[in-house]
Amino acid sequence: MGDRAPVSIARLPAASGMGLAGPFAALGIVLAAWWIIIGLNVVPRAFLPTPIVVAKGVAEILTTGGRLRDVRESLLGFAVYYPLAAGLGIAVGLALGLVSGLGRFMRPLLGFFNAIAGIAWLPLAMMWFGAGTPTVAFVTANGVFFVVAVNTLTGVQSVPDIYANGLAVLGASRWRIVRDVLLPGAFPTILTGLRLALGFGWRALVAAEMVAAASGLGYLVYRSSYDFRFDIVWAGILLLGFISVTLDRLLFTPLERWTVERWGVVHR
Amino acid sequence: MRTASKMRAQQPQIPGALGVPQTRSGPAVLAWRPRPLLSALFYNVGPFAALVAVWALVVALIHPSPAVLPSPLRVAEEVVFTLRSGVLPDYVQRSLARLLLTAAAVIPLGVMAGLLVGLVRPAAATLMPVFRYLTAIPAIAWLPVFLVTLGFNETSIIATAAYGFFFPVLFNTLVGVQTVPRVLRSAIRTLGGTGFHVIRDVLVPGALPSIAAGMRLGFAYGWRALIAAEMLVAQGGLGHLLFRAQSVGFTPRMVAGMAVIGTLAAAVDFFLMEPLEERTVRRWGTVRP
Repeated sequence: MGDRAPVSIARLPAASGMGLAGPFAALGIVLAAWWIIIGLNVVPRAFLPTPIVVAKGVAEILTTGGRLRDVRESLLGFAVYYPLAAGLGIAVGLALGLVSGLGRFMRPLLGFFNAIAGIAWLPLAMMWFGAGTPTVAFVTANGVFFVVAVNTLTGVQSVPDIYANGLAVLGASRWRIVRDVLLPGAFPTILTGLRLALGFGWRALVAAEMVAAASGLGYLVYRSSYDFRFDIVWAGILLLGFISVTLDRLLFTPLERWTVERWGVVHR
Repeated sequence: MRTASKMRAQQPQIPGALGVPQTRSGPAVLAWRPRPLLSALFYNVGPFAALVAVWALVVALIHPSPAVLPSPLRVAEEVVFTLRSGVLPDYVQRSLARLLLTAAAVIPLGVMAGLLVGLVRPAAATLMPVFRYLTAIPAIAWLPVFLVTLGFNETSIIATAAYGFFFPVLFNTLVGVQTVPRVLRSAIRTLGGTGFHVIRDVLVPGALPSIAAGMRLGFAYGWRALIAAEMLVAQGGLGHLLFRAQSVGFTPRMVAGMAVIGTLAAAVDFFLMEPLEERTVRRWGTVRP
């Protein structure tokens, strides 16, 4: 009695059952596959270094001043562009969603810009800002903004009118309806948008750094291939994935659990 | 209107009954709506007309240098010119051929691999984090590795696009298979169904909404990776078109290229991906994964 363990609702099926063995097994499989490919000798050793060499590459990136600066530049930049663009996207999506005709009118435009968001803006951004950090910032923010705005608009529009009307009939103010009906109703969709935007934004940042910048982790990866430092290339690629997975985990696992518990929406 | 009056005519008319005289004028005025075609035109063409109008207005008022922001007319001229000279069709065709090849190779492969791995529970549990990690790595970051191992050529461009396209499909198929309740599989088994029946009648339909979502995301990632790779490898394609225009500072062509990229991507998304996703969700999905 009373000692029931709390049941976690939002859990991917894969997370259960394996316990700690899972990650280690996964790591083991990856390393085994890596060694097998090296053993097959299909790729020259210079282009595919051993895991140990790549691990040393990671250590070199994280301890050498110049290389660490590239990592920091990408991370700090993203930590500024992402929240700003996402916040703006939520605000615009909400504002458009509140005026029903306007939301419907603007939706195709948002969809169109969402389809070009990110890397396609790079050449034009280079004309406007020149190669360098402002261009990277613009392309990243652009990649984030439209996904968030479209998803916020979708979320607001998908809340059934009957809830808003119900509150209005009971005498609720407009602000109250936004706070208690539209925002909670749209929240899972906004969350999906934010999560997608993390992926799109990070990709846009890396691509922009590779094509149009002289610093950042994307640039480090591309530049190192010209220096024939493939240990750094591989280490950089692994770090790019690691940062993306970690950001996703840090930001969205708690948020998702909180939404599910608070509003009881089954979301994945 | 005509059908409405017909329906009314079919209703029993009781002389002097309440409401009969009102059917003539009142509701007809209140219920006026733009005709469907006009409304569709308004909501689909209208936004873009408004965008072009605002753009033209900005250019007319501020007079920016054409290198910064060319007028809509100038860009339209450039579209027509590149169309006539065959430049645009050539570059577009290169990109589309790459995209089609990628999609044709990657979608069946990703779905099959996802189903296979999903069938074996320990394998799924072990490989899930690996796939999640590989999905998280931006495809374009692999380009340097592809360039030295596959060569500075077409293969590397396609490999980059394929990497971006493949993993969302695989990952989402796997997630889809895993969200199918095991009871359903057991039920088919109990009723004497074979493994093939389980796949065909339970796993594929159950996972389809998630697979469709994965294809949509995969297309978005793959398309962007393709354009970025075309920029860096410079062997035709829309990315190359944009980048070449950039290197000589020819903004009208850049904006024309962006318009084409946006139109193509929006068209694929609107005519292919969205209906597919909606149909699968409506037909087989109860809760979106």
